[in-house]
Formats: sequence, C-alpha cells, structure tokens
Amino acid sequence: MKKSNNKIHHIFSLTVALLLAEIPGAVAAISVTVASPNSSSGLIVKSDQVTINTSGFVRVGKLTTATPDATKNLPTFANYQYWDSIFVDVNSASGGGGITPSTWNFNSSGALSGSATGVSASTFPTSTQLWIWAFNFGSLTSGSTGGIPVFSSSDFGAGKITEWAIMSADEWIAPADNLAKSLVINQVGGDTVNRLIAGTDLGNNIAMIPEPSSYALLLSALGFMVLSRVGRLSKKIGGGRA
Amino acid sequence: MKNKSIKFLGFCLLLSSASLVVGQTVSTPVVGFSKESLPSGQHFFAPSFIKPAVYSGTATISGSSVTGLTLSGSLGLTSFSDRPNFPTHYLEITSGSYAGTYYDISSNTSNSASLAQTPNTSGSVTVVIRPHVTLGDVIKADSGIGEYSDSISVYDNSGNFASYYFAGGMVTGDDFATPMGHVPVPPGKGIGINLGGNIQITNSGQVRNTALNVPVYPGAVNVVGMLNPSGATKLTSLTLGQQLDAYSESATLYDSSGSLALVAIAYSDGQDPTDDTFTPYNSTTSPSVQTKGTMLVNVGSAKYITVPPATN
Repeated sequence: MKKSNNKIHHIFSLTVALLLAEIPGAVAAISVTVASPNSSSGLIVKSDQVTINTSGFVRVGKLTTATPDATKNLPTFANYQYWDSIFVDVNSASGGGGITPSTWNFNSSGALSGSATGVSASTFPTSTQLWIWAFNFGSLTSGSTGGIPVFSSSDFGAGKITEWAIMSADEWIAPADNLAKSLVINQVGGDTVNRLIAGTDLGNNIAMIPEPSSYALLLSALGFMVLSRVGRLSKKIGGGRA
Repeated sequence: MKNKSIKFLGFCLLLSSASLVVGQTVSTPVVGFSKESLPSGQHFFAPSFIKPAVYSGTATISGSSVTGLTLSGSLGLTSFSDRPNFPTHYLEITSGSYAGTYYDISSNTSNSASLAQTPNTSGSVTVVIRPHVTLGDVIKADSGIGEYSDSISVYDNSGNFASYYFAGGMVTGDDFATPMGHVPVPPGKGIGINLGGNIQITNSGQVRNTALNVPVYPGAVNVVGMLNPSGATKLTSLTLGQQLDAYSESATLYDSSGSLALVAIAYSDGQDPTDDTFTPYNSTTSPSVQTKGTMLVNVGSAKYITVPPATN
C-alpha cells in the first residue's frame, strides 16, 4: 500500500514538474573585460613597438572553428574576410549581444580596459575560448550592442589598416553564468597550443604584425640582422672563410 | 568541498565597549575571524561576519524617516566625485515581526536618518545601525588575488551585475584604476569570484546572533549567504519551505571546488524544502549550504529569505 502511495506521489510530482513553468531567473549573462591598462598588464603595440594612440580598437569574441587557418594571419582584405566570417563578437547582435564599451578603442596611452556586459551565456557557454582581434585603424561605436566597423578593401593600405593582431591565451575561457572574465594581455604566449595567430610576443606586450609588403621588409631586415650576426660570430670564432 | 577549508577560525567573547555603542542596549557580541582557502575557479562567496554597531536602541519609524537616534558623523552614501557612490551604513530592525530586516541609510542628522527604502512597519521599534562590509574588507592584497585577471561580481536587484578587479594593491573598477573598495556587500548577500589561482580570504568581525531577512528579487542573481562562519547549514534549518512559492521557486546549491558543480536544486511543497521530485527533505536527507557557502535563490516575486543566526 505504501508502495502504491509512493507511486502516486511520484506521478503527481512529475506531473507538477511538467505542468509548472520554471520561474524565470536572471538572464544568463557574463561579462568580458579587456585588461590592458599599462605595460604591467601588457599592451598591444604597433609592429615597431610604439603604442597605438591615434586610432584602433579591439574585437573580442570566439571563433566558429577550433582550427583556424593560421596562414591567413597578415592584414589583407582577403584575410579580413576570412577572420570576419569565423569571428563571433561578444558585443554583436548576432553574437553575444553585450554592450560595447568605449574603452575597447585604444586611448592616448595605447591602453585598453572595460567590460562588455550582458553577454549571452548561451552563445558563450563556460569554457568557450575567447579571442582578441586588434586593429591599428578604425573605432567601435560604444554604448549599445554592436558598433563594430565593417571594412571594405579600400580600408586596407597606407593610412588605414596596415597592422593587426589576433590572439588568445589558455586562461581566456568564458566564465560560468553571472561571472566575469578578464583577458590580460600578458597572459598571451607560452600556451599549450599557439594562440598568437598574428602578432609578436614581446614578453608583457604583444606587437601587431604589419601588412604583407612591410612584413616582407621586416622579415628581410630580421634575416639580414641574423646573417650579419652569424657572419660576425663566425669571424670571432675563426670559422670565417680565409 | 575537499579543496575548501577554513584554515583557522578563532572566536572569543568580547564585552562591547560602551563607547562603541551609543544607544541603550549593550550586548556581548561574539567576535572572531576565519581564513578560508578558495581554489582556482569560480565561486559564489558571502562574508558572514558583521561590523560593530554604531547605534543600538529605540527609534521611531515613519515612512522612510527614522527619528529618536543618537548619531555622529555621516552614515549616508559615500561622497566621491570621481567614482560611483554607495551606501555606507544600514539600519536593521531588531524587534517585532520585521526583526532582521535591514535598509540602507541615505542620509542622516545627529538624531535622525532617511532610509533608501520604506519599511513595512512604523512606530517605535528597536534598531541597530552598522557599517556595511565592503569589497575592500573582503578582498585584500594578502589574499593572493590575481591582479588584472581575477574578477569579483556584485549583483543588483534587477538581474545585472558589475565586475570589479584588483590592481595596484586595491579593488578597482574595470578600468583597473578607479578605487572601488567601498562597494558594499549587504548582509546575507554573496558575490561572484572568478580566480586564476588559489586565494585565501581572511574574514573577521562580529558573529550574528539573530536571524536575518535577506531580500531577494525576481530576475535577479540572488546569492544568499549563510551566517554561520564555522559550519554547514542544512536547508531544513531554514524556513525556505514556507518562504518559497510551492513547486516553482527554487534554491540552487553548488559545491565550492571551483567548478560550481551542482549539489542540489531545492523546491518547496508549501511547508518543507523538497528535492526536484518534490519529496520533502528531512534532517537526514537535507543537503547543506556549505561553510561560508551560498545558495542561488530564484523567485517569481520579491520577498525575504530568512537565514538563521550563526549561533542557531
């Protein structure tokens, strides 16, 4: 008889559970903060290691693929289209829906800070790898969802987009609902897998990489310096040609 | 739970000094401190100690005004010009059917105070006024909190939260420069913490010896903390069963390993707290809110959740 009562109780409980709508709780949201206020936390700088202080901004989000094509790392319009197609912003209407902070535009000291609040925790569930895509040109419109500039081919080249950086870090994973995550620039580098797709690790700071022609020149200069050093070293140890 | 432990908990009895309490009632508060290790990961955390009273005695409530007090100094909001301001003190009713209910103080004179909310009671009552515990009291440099990286979340009554960080040896806003250690952590309320490494939080103050009514709101992240600094609190020791709407409102308990693993979701059958099949818990089957732990309360209408005193 007791067994029968238990059965009735369970049927009642399950029926109640099915019939009653869950009380709506807080909208599951997270905050994502960019932590780059000074060189102690790490800054994103230009390829010549000078701070970015006239224009430029960062996009923050996730990638729709776990294996992005790292060969498309140079700042060209074609590569922009590739990364734009796989980048889901925490602050876009079609992405996380968070509020865009004005402080994701580089300030006069080349610093970044501030949070995108109200980011959808269902679009950015716990442990989602978060990325920063930094540009040396353009700016975000803050205060509401989105405000992310859309670039065309004419936005690439001298006086416009000539450099960018694309990076993440092992620590940059989305938090649980109702919590915040801070993306500290000096955490980039030395990760379990390479998460610095475009950029140079300077220790605390990350330098952007320049557009292809400058990048080739930069590589040539680096190669020349290496060869010169090797030559001098060879002479020093008497290994040079007679 | 195995990773979270109170390393040391000290208690001693201390007779309140008459100079600390301006009013008539002089009690013998239990004071103590604890050092609690929080492992890397994510936590909801609530400080359980309270600060000494600056007034304790009778008062007369009329609307949001309170008279008959003896006060010194400003007990209202902070008055910074370069950062957001917050309440510094709260008034708690200690007699009658609203005992344990508290209200922020907006402003004051030497014998009166204006409250930020209007109490549901009026007339002569006994009250106590205390300073709020703040983020700066809870998160200190020696805790080992990660500068720039670890975050602290404080929840409002409408489903939003603000994030704070630690930089330059102090709690800051998300610009890592504006001092924000004055943000209050209201009694019985918890904060969210996201840690990249282990930290140790040192708490100290008076132990509450009376029940507390913690306000909770629909759509808000209601992190309700227990008052017992030295032991777990069984759900059956709360009046949750009578305070949650039957079969719909809930209290969610997480572990404190840093993963926020679900321990239990408790409902009510109108009388007792139940599991998610609406089977009432008893003192044996009841899950516990862990030491210094919290529960996330989900309600359809604004109400109070009564938390038993630490000395219960």
